[in-house]
Amino acid sequence: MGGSRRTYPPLLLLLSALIVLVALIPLFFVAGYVVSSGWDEVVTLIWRPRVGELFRNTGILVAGCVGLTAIFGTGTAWLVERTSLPGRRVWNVLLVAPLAVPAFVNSFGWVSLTARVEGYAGALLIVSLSYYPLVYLPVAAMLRGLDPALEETAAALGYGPWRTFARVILPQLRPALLGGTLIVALHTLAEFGALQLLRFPTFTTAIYDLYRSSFNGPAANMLAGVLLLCCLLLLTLELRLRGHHRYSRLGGGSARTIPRRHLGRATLPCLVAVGGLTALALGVPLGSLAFWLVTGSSTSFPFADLAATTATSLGLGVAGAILTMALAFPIAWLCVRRRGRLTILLERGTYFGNAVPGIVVALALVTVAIRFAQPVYQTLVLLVLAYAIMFLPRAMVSIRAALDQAPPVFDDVARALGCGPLETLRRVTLPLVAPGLGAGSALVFLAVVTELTATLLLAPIGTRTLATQFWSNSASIAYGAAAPYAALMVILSAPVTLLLTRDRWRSMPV
Amino acid sequence: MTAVTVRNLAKAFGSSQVLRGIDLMVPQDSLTAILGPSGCGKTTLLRLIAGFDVPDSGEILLGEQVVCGGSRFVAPQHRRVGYVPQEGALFPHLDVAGNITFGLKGGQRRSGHRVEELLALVGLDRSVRSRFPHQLSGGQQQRVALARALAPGPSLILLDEPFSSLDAGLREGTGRAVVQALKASATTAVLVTHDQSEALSLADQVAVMRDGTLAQVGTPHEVYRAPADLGVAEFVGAAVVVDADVVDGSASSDLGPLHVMAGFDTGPARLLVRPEQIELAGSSQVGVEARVVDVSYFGHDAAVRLQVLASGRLVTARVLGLSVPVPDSVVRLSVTGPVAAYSPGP
Repeated sequence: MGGSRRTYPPLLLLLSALIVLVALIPLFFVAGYVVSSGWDEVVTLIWRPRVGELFRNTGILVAGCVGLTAIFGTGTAWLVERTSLPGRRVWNVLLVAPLAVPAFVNSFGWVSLTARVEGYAGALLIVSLSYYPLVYLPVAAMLRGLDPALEETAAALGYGPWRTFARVILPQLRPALLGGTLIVALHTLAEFGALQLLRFPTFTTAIYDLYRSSFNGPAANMLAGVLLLCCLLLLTLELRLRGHHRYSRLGGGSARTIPRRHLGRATLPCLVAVGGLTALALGVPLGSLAFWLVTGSSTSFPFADLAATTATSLGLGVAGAILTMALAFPIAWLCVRRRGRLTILLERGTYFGNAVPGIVVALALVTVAIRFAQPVYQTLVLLVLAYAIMFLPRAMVSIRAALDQAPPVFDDVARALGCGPLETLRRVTLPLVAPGLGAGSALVFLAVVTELTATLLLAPIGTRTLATQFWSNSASIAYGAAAPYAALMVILSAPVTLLLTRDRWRSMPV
Repeated sequence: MTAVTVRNLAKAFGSSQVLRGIDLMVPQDSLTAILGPSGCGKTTLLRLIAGFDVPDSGEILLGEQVVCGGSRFVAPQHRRVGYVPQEGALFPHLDVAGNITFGLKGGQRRSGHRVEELLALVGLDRSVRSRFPHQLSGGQQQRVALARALAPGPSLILLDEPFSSLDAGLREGTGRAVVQALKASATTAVLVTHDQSEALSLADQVAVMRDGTLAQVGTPHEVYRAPADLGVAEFVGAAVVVDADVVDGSASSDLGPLHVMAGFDTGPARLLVRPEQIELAGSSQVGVEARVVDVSYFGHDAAVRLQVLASGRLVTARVLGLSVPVPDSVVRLSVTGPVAAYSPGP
């Protein structure tokens, strides 16, 4: 490294800038489309009753999900972290486990049992059941890291338990709670599969229908613009929040005695509440899957087909994870080792991917490929690139966390002890960084395997993944045939989800 | 014999000149402390000696060998220099034995060569050898970091503020243990610190650094009793500065007669009085009358703030804890021992 410690390596910087430009393709696409269509066209396409109805649907769904997940997530986190609830370790795993069941599989589980969940109420319940762990995880981490002295002080000042919760604990949970619910809002805006199955139209499902049924490009693109605008609004909010509050970091790791509230006679009702939530969020979809596996596939179990689609999904997952991690690495390295105004700007550029729904990424890549890169249209290259754009932020966070495990002082020590650069890499940097890189790859892999929207739009004809096979079967109400594909996705997701219940990975993005 | 020779070293980061004109000789088998406030460039000097950074100009010799100078630059892994960074930086993926043997060649590493010998050298029990860094206290981590640096038998050890992260209570004991281990293994060491008492108590030679230059290099006694200038004097310890006219090596001041060190004969001067040079007497007739303003009592000794009655000057005296005056009482003070003198300057 020599004396170049405080300068940017130019090649790496150029490479990172190029990667960020690729990641911003969806934004360029939407902006370019709006500008080239002109104002009048924009107004005619957007100012329609149908769009108003979609706007209302999307709004009430997002607002409802934010409220419901906040209640589910905070309530369960408090019970697990701060009370005498029996079996807390088990509940901790069970409460995070719904993340292993993709939202569209969850709604499949419900809708294949009863059609009564179709519509707003059902969509609200089922989407919230799928996403409340996104609130549970940060809030539980925050509760665990809170200084018990604050509550003791409140008690000494004469506050009762409820007042302490409302006036001392809740204000401190605000960053975790707002951060978590904003992620829920972004996910809900981008959600396609679950809402399509539940027949509750939002922007995302409408874009898909427009694109699929009539190839109505202009209308779909314009709706994508509105959707992107909503997402960017939420993202700006989240960025602003994060500016004030970094991830809660748990100090020292030493066992601190956290005062737990004794539930006493409330134990049973609390157990029933947590158990009921778990039954709805996990029991119903898994039970439904089991039911369809037994009854539906008894006649013919398509082993060959299952094996082929699993192989395709695994292959795409691996390719997506490798490409995403490879693209994220140079930027993350610059951010950690050469922190500066320029690198922060690059990081923001990749963070943008968090706000782009899969459907917008897919539309952008289809249009750009048809116009500028005909040979990659209808190839796996385009699909894997879409995954990379969507999941770049997750890879970034994991790699940054991994690199933080290996600060440059370890390089110095190793070199003073006689190790050359390669030996330092092999004996110090890699052993320290590998677990984090592995976890990051696993997260991206999981996201790719359960991705539905972009895959449906971008998978070349004849490419069949677990998600697309599940989708075509369940769309034609062949529930028994769809179940094995869903079960495989859940099985593949389970190990990675378990990882998230460990403290170290709690701040990982999902 | 000289273990390290630094000649006219300079280093800039961007537009800020961090080091300029550094000349330093570190004698074999000694401990040299580089003492300076934070941001003065002392860590940069250490990193240049280690080879982690490349200087803009100047020369560095380890023993007789030029490791840096002209077109020659020896990479850090070939310098045989041990490095102990702040907070130890033990490799978190290796246990204590793995850390200590890290710098040894393959065969010796696997056999756990010298682990127990080195643990004993730094004053640690052999039972810690299979613990991981997070299971050790801060002081233990520092000792393991030193053992790791000593294991390959380096000609020189560089310590970068190794005790600054420790509690005050642990600091002195750990410092002593480190110095003993260095002496026992006959290893030359350079210690970077901003803590005056650490530098004075542990080092054989103290190099006082200020704004990227060395203001003074000398024994702890020289640096404390005869600082190169008043700036060094006030950085190294508490000081009472008295302006007076010196005639034939002595001066009369509002603190009474002062005996000036050899080297300054006659003329106006600024004189340096250390608080422990001020002696207090309750009722004797010698000395200047002063009123006790307040007392900070530390047990073993006490700092007594006094106001000289005649001139109104406030001074601080450091007296043994056995005889501490009462606030508001009037005592007589006198200055013992020679004081350093400086020209008043332009």
